[in-house]
Amino acid sequence: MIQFIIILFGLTMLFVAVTTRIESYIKAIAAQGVILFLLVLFDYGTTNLANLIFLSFETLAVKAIAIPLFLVYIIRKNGIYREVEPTVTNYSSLAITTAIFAAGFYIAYWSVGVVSNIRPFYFGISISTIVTGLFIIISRKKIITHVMGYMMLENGIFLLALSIAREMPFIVAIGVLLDIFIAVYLLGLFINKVQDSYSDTHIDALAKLKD
Amino acid sequence: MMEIIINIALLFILPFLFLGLINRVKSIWAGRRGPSIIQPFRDFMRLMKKGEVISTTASFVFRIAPSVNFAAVIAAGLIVPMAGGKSIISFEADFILFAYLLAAGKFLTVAGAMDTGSAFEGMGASREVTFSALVEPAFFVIIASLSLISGGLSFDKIFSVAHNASVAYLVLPLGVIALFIMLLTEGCRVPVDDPNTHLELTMIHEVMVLDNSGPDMGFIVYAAAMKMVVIGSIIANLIIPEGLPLWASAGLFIAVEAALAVIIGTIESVMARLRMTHVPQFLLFMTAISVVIVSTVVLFISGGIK
Amino acid sequence: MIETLLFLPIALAILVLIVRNKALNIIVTTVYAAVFMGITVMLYLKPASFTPYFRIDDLNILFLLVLAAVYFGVAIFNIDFLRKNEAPAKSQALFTANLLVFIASMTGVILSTHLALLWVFVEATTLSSSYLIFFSRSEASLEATWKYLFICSIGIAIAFVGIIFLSMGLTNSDSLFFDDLYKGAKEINPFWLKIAFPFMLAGFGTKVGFAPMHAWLPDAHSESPSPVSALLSGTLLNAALLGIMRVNKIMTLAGMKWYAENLLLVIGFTSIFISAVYIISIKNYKRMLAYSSIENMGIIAICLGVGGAGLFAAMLHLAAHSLTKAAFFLTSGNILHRFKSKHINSVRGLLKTDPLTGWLWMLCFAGIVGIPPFPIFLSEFLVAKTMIDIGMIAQLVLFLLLLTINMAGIGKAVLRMSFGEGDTNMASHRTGILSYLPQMAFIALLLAMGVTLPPFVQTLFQKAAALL
Repeated sequence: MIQFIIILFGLTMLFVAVTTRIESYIKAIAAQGVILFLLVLFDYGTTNLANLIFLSFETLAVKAIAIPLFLVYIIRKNGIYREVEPTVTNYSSLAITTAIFAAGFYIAYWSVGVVSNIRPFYFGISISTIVTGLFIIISRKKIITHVMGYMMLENGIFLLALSIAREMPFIVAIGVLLDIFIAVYLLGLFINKVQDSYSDTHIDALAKLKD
Repeated sequence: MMEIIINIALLFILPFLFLGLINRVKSIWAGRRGPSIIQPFRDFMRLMKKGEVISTTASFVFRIAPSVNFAAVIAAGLIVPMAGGKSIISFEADFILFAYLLAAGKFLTVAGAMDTGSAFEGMGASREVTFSALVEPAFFVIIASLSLISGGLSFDKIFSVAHNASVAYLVLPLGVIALFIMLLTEGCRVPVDDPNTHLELTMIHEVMVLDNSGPDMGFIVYAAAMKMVVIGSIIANLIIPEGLPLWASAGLFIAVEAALAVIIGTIESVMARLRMTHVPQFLLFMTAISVVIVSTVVLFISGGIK
Repeated sequence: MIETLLFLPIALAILVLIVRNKALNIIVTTVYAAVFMGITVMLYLKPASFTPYFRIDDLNILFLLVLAAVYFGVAIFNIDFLRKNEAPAKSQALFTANLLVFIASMTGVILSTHLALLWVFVEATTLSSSYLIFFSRSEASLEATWKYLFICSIGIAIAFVGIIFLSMGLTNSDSLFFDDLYKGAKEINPFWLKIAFPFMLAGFGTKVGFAPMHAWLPDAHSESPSPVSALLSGTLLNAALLGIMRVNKIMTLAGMKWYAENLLLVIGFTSIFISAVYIISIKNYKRMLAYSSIENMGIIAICLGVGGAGLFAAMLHLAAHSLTKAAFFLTSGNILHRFKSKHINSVRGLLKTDPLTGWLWMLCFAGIVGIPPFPIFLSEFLVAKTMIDIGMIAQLVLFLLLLTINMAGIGKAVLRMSFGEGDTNMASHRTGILSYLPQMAFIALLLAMGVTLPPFVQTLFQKAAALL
């Protein structure tokens, strides 16, 4: 069953690659948060209760609820147009993401037996999620989608940290610190400085400084 | 013997009910009482009694197209296992015949549409062919993956063994999602196509049959509904566990088909048709899922998933 | 001692935020700089540790000394800067508080003995310095801040991936203390180590400003206020570099020296190449300095990649670059204040309008391109000699060629700005002596270092290089 949940995690990334609505991105991010929460709860197997509580709280309350809600709020407040506006066509986006996803499976396939210490399935999907997150960041025009891409990248890193077979709670817990960046970005957008100066909230507006 | 009779009966009766149920669900969503569930059957009988008008530019291709299409869908339906998990006709690699029977029916429909010489119908035909071309590879990839984990080469072997494989819980749900997308495409339902639309610019399937009337039209509607039921029965076989008694299996089968009809009706009520440029992406999503399935299966065979 | 360095600035930052007094901001920054300097010197004389997580060793004391010196100079310069600044008290308080936290987090990076802790502090430096870059509140500075935050956060994420890979390779222990990593370096699964190193190199390298992850650096350095630019270039890059050095040591001990060295050489040459390409036709003098930072970080990477005597050169170059570049940036702040433009073409006749700034500008130029007796000459000469010794002739030729291009690019701009007829009206815009003292002190220090290289300084560098 855990494997199915992880595949669903990967499917959210495929969904993100093909959809054109920002709201769908938020849904995907929330879904990833819930999936991570389930994984932490049922498959993490920590012996440390405090750590388990902290991580499940972080994944559910922050990743699955607070950040998506805040994203919705910011989109409403700033009146961000609902289209994602990618720089590549959706075809290529989906094709590339599928290729990355298949490569993730290939990595999992290859890592069986070759390397110890990891859970192959977690490993493959998390690597493909990280790469897809980077791809989303470079192939979307809006600033808010960059933040969302970073969020997905970060969720992939969280999954990667879970893929260590031995228990290293320290690593997993510390990865949560990356959420602070998300918070800072969102606050920045919220306080509206970016919005005021770049009314179209396009990354193209961030190209004045150059040589 | 009993099984065969039940299956043939289901194959011929269910399409009307399927269509009727979809329409009923849609009318309930719209706040109307809606037509009776057997209304499609009445429509069919009405069409059978009518005469037909055939364009002067049309040749024999136009005349045979609906009947051949209908026959092809029936033949395809005989290959697919329905209630009880046994198909009426079964041999190795029958799923290839299945796919090409559907394709042959579609080919004639398209040829018939072009035969009328209408520009609109040609446009619809081109769209239809494009979308089918996108769906077909994904279908083969999915069935091939299933046959890889089950070791079987015919539909009933594939389904009977695939349920027992330990990776089934991974592959089967994904297969259901992907095949449902195929069902929507082949059945020309929202969000790929809107069966109610009468705008030439957005139509795919409806535009191809503008010139058909009378019994031919009846066959076309009947064949389209039957195609949905047939693909729905593949989905049902992915869901229904193996080894149930016949009555339970048949009951579940009907329940799954009914659920599909309700879901389709709901989707049609709450969603709009996709913009034409977005349809291929929707279909490619099925391809993406099929890639996931085949990756999972390969990973499973190599021992990566325990 | 160490606890003072870590907690005092935080406490002071809170105090500054509560009181919000312009004078207090200046006093706190300056006094803390003096305290920092004092403690650092004491730590140099008598190394100490605070919990297992923070410790002074021969390597990081050098970084700490450089940080203390640059911060002290910047704090002096900052007095004039803040006094002239017209931002409201609230912004100034925020600026000061962020500055203090920034210093504290860099101290944390330098002192931490644990890989994950070091990573956390690197993240903290990014967060605390973003407001400093944004301080002028212009559209350009907003763009620079956003780029800085975003690119560095991706870099940090990548570095974290590297840390995860490294932990996957640990076989016997779970500990990420550098000491344990060094001790067990041979037992780390070489496969994971080989994957982890490039990730950490790219991740921390983003913060160092190695090309091709350098995109944020010219923007952030050119748009932030000059004291902040000096701090970023003179100390932040070093701190991130320390992370790479620590990880590099694991590679060396694990017997994969060649692998790490080759990667460092590649990234070093890419950096000086990129900087040469941009610097030759640069139009903005602050961006020019930023590209020069990329170049110098590239040189340090090459020093590390060459190994042997190159390690000593790396340490020397690092210290010398920090001081020179800090002086350079502070002087550029004076020019900006006087001419109100960052364009090279709008600045003329520095030597006539403001001889002190003009001479400092020329001296800094001499320092950064390594004209003897400045110490950068020594380090570049040393690494060139090492390259000859180990037979990297082709690389040496490329290295010298790229250095010359960089030198020509900077030289062209600096000479054009210094000579010629100046606008005499500008002469009335005098700045206080405090805006010159730090640079003069830095230059004097550098000259002293370059001419004599006293034995105790030499041992400092040698001991640090021995730990690489």
